[in-house]
Amino acid sequence: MKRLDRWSSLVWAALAVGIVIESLRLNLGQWGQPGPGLHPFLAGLVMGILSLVVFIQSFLNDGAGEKKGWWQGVRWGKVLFMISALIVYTFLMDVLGFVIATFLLVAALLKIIEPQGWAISLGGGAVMAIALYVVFAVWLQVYLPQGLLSF
Amino acid sequence: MADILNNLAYGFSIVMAPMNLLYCFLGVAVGTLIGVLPGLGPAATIALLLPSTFHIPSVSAIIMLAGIYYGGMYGGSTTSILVNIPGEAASVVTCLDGYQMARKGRAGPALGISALGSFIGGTFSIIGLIFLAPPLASMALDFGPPEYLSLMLLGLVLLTFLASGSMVKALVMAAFGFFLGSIGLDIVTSHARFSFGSNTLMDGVGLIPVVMGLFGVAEVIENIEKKPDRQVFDAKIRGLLPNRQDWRDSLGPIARGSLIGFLLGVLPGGGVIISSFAAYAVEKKVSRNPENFGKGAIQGVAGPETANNAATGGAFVPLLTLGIPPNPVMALLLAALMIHGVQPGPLLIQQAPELFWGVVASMYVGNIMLLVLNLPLIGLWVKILKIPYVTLFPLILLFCLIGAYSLNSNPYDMLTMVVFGVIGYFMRKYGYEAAPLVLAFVLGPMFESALRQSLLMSHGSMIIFFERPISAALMGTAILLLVLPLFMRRRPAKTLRVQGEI
Repeated sequence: MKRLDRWSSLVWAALAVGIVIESLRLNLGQWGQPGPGLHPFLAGLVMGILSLVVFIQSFLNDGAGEKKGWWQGVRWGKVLFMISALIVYTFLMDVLGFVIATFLLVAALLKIIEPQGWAISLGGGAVMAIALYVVFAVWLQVYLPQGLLSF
Repeated sequence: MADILNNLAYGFSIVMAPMNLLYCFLGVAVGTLIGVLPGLGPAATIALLLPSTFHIPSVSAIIMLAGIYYGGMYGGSTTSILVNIPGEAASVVTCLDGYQMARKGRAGPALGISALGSFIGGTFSIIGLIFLAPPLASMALDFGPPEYLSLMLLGLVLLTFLASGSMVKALVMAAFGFFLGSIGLDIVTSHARFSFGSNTLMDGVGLIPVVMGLFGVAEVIENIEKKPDRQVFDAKIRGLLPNRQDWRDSLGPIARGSLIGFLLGVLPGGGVIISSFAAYAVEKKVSRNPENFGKGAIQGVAGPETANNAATGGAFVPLLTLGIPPNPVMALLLAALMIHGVQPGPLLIQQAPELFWGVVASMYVGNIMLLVLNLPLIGLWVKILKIPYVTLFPLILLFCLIGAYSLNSNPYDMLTMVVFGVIGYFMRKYGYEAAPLVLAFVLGPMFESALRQSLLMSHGSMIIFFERPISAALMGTAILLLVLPLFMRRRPAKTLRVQGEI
C-alpha cells in the first residue's frame, strides 16, 4: 500500500490546492464575520496537509515484501467498457428514451462483460428494459423519458 | 418505567396499523434480500429507495428504511455461512467459523444460531435504545452551536480513529467530504461555490447519487474486474434448530455480543463491522479451546452475529437523540427525516413521539418477522443465491441509475453517480474508506453553520470551543484521539482489514 499511497496522496494534494485557491477567491471573511470561503478553505487546507503526511509516510516504510500492484489480473477492457457505457447511457437516456437506451445498455453489458450469445444479450436487454419500465414508470409512477417511443 | 411502557404501547399501536406492518415487512424482506445478494448493501439500497418514500407518511418511511438496515444483517450471515462470501461487510467474520460449520454438515445450526442470536441481540439493543435515548436527548437540549460543532468533530474523529486502515487517510476523506458538502449555494450569502456555471452543481452534490456511486456502482465495478469465483454450498440444509449443547456453547457469546454490539453501535465508526470483529476477538480470548476457532466453533458465529445486530439498534441512539448520524446508513436516515420535515435533534422524541416510539416498536416487530423469514424460509434465499451474477449486475446498475434519475429527472444526477462509482472504485483499491467521506459530506452544512454561528457568538475567537465545559470536554477527547495514534505503535484494528465497509 505504501508505494500506492505515494501517487494517490498526490492526487488528493493537487485537488486540495485547487480547493484552497478557489476558496480564497470566494472570500474568507474575517474571523468574527466568516465568509462563504472559510469552510471549504479549512477543509482544503486540512486535506492538503494530511495528504502530504500520507505522501511522506509512504517514504518512511519502503514497502518491501509488498504484494504486487492491485491492477495485476484486472480485466481493464471490461472495466473501462462498463464505465464508458454507463456514461454514454446518462447522455442517451433523454434523447432515445428509457426503453431504447436501457435495451442498448443491457445488451451491450451482457455481450461484453460476461459474454453471452446474441440471442441472450438482445433478449435479456429487451426483457429487462420493458420489465423495468413497467415496474417503475407504469406501476411506481416514476417519470422516465419516452424519447423516440413517445406517441 | 410506567412511562416507558405507556410510550411503547403507543408505539405498538402505530406499528400495528396495517399500512405500517406492510412497510415494516417490505423493509425487512428487502433487507434480507440485499443482505443475501452480493453487490448491493444497505447504504446503496436505502439511497435507492429513499425517493420512493417521498409520498408516504414519515413514520412508515422510516420504519421501512430502518428495516432494510437491520434486515441486511440477517441476510448477510446466510451468504457468509453458505458461500464463504460475506453478503455484508458486517458478516465478514462469520465466514471464518460459519463456513467451516457448513462444510462439516452443520449449516443448519450455524444459520439457526445466527438468526436466533441476531434476534436476541436486536431485542437487547432496542431495550437499550429505549432507556438511553430519552435522558440523552434531554441533556442535549442545552447544547448550543459550539457544543454541536465539538460533538460533530468528535464523531468524525472517532470514526477515523476506528477506521480499519490508515487514520490519516480516513481524515483526508473526511476533509474531502466537508468540501463536497460545501459545493452549491452558500447557506448565508447565497454565493455560488464551486459550481463553475453548472446548474446541477449550483444545487449542490446530491447525497443519494454519491452514496449509490460509492457503495453500489463501485462494488459492481470491483465484482466484474476479475473472473467470478463463487460456489454455493450445495447440500441439503436440515436441522435448523441448534441442539442443547449448541445452546450451552452459545449463551455466553450471545450475552457478550449483545453488550459489545450495543455499546460499539452507539459510537460513531461503522459500529456494525467493528462490533462483529470485537465480539469474535473477545470470544476467542475467553474460550477454553481457542484452537477450535476457525474450524467451525459455534461461538465464533453466535458472538459476531449477535453483535452486529445489537449494533444496528445502538446506531439509532445518536441519530434520534442528537440528530448526528454515526455511520453512512444513519446519515441517509437523517436525510430521510429532513425530507419528511422532521427536524432531527434532541426535540425529536418530544415533537414527533409517533415517529420515535413507532420506529422503536417496529424494530421489535421487524425482528420477529426476520426470524420467520430467515428460519423457515431459508431455502428461498438459498435459491436466490444461485442467481448468476451476469443477470444480477445489469439489474443492480439499472436500479441505481433509475434511482438517481428519479430524484429530479436530471440525467446529470446519474452522471454524478457514475463519477462517484469510479472514484469509489479507486478509493477501495488505494485503501481510502468511504464512510468518513459520506459522514463528513452529510455533516458538512450543519458543521459549517455551527462554525459560523459560534464565531459570530464569540466575535471571532476560537476560545469559545474550550470555554464552555461540555464543548471543552468533547474537543479535548477529539484532540486526544487525534494525538494518541502518534504514541501507539500499532492499532489492533489494523490487523483485520475490511474492504468495502458498510
